[in-house]
Amino acid sequence: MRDNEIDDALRGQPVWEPPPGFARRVVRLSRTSQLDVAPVTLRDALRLLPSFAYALAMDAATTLAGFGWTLRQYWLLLAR
Amino acid sequence: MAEDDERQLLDRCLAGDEDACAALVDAYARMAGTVIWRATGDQDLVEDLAQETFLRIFRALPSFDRRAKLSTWIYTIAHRVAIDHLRKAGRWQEQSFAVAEDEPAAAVDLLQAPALVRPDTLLARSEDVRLVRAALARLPDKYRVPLVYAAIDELDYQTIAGMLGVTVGAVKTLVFRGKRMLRDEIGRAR
Repeated sequence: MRDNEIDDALRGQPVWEPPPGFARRVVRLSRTSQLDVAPVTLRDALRLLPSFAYALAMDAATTLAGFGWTLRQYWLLLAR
Repeated sequence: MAEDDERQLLDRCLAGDEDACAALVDAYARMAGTVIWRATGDQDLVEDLAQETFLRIFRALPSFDRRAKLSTWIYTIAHRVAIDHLRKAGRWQEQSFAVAEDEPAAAVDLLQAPALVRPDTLLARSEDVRLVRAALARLPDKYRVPLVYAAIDELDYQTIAGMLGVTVGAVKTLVFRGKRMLRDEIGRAR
């Protein structure tokens, strides 16, 4: 194969054509991915505070109840 | 794209104008996708990797150095996305593109402009293309990538040098050696 035939074969490869709507889709995706990684603001943290306090209180109540129940079981065992 | 238009488009895109961002993608998607297609050799991957390229571009746009050429910056990111994919797939040979610059004069007219094609030569040409593609796939990435980029009309040696992070002389040497290796591969296959 001659040099110019190799050049033609190399140059003759097709270019990529983006599908219709490609640009809009990429821009939309870019906006979504930026929302995903947006930093948490102080307002976001304050808004989450009541839920966090409630979850903490429920955890504490469950732990205390469990601890009390276990103490009662020991007390009953020792009282026999 | 004119430099002023490019600057305005960048400013609007940075200000959150979605039409400007879409126009930016429209202006460069074809070439970015072609770079990815040439580097990976796999057409099915191009759309996903082109999408990844523009997502990276939008993330990095605020830090783009306005003194640099926008097209070179975009094609460099497309090149890196393609190489990252090949690396993850275990299809990339880790080799620097750095090379001692020799034989540059011989490489200047390396890829000649395509000649007019006569219909009776089309069949023979499709066989040539098949042979060349098969031989290209066997070349080391270090030489294959500059060679296939040099065959893209819109990419000049200066742009390819920017994409690969080497000098123009090094690109010419890589392309010259790549073509010599390609010729040897084709000779062996026949």
